[in-house]
Amino acid sequence: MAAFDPKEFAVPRERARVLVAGAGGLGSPALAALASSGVGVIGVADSDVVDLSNLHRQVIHVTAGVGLPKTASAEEFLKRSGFGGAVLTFQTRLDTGNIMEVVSEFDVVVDACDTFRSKFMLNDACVLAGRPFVHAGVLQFEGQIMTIYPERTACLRCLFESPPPPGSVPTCQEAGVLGAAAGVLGAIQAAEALKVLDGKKTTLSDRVVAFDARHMSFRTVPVSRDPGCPVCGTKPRIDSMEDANYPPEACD
Amino acid sequence: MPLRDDQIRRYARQLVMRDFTGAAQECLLKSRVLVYGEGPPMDLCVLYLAAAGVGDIHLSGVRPSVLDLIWRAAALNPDCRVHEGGRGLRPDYVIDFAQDAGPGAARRAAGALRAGLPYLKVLRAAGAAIMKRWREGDPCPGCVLNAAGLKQTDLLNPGETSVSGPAAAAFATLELAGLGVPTHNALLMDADKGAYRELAATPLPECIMCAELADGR
Ligand SMILES: [Zn+2]
Ligand SMILES: [Zn+2]
Repeated sequence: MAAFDPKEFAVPRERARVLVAGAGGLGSPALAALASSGVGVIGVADSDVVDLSNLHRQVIHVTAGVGLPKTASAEEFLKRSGFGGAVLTFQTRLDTGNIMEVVSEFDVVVDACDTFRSKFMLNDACVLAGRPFVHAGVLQFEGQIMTIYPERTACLRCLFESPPPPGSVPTCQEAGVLGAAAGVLGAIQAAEALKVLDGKKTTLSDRVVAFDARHMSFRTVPVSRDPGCPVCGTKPRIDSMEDANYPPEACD
Repeated sequence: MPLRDDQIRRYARQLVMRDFTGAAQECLLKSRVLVYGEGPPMDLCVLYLAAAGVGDIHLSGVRPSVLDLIWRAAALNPDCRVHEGGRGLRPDYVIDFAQDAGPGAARRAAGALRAGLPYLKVLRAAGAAIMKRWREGDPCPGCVLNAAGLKQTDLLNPGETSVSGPAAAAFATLELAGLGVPTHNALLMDADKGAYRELAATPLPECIMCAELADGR
């Protein structure tokens, strides 16, 4: 693949629009870091309400806010933190019908959602809309992160053609997660989103960084685009958002 | 004391993990952590410790927004109490976010080691963070900083990454819950350069601070 200049995707901070898709375990540290970054607009998308079992890891929410929409709670957090820009909230489930419209409003997208279905949907929408995004996932003590420049660097589907079959991988609810491990990944996601906006060459693109809190170790694995990728390959099978490409999760 | 129903619900996602037993949670709830320093990563570290259920967090060091942090931690988890000042305290764990790799830091490390306390140090410079859990015979904070190719003056420009906050909280939470010491190796988390790896650090010859740390037992 020809080299590309990350400056293509650069946007001055004060004009920059960042979407954090998910205001949970990954979204909390990402939003906490973005609050003081000087970006112009922060978008927060989440359809859930704050639950008591969220609070061991979702540190932007508060006990008194249990039952409130996470988007409202996140907006409250940003305001209290002195975030001077605009906050756009999407208290809705991102689905094939609305996701293209939402991600197209932003310059960079942070994948802080918690299901494979949403992650693949976000991947495809960002690739199709030409928006750079920062993927991360976390379970128990481990997680991984990768930054994607659409049609320039490897996307999620270049590595995994489709979401794992429902039930084959445990969810956070079943397997648990160390709150601060999600914190590490989310904080790195915010740093990556800012590097994308700043046009830096040092993003975690075409490489996956895996983190293991149990041993406090990081591992970097180089990856590359797959010409046969169903969404960013030479003959893409996915060219619009269709429900058939996103099987429902087992316990949605 | 057994966990209350609301605590079982609050900590459900960590209690469901193998090894993270009710007894581990009770250890956390009884633990006292002393935190030095200030700054956004330190604030985030305190919030993660509070969220995980650390019982008492003592903040040592002068910081303007301390009341806000105390309020936030209490609003997040009423099981955790955050206190201003740590004088005369006998903590179970020391986390040092002070931007100091000189004699002051070496003295705090030596003091903690002498008292048999876990000492976790975080330094931030130029968009990178270095984290290390000290033990006897380890090089001093200044020599570890040097191993990362950084100087004392680089500490004046920490950059904006906050990853060291949750990283330190993850480390301390695991150790306080009795799940072991994740590592004694120094870790480099350079968000600006996108480099996350272990750091090989050895004492510089004739380093006075290293000698002081070695005498600290
Ligand atoms: Zn692809
Ligand atoms: Zn030394």
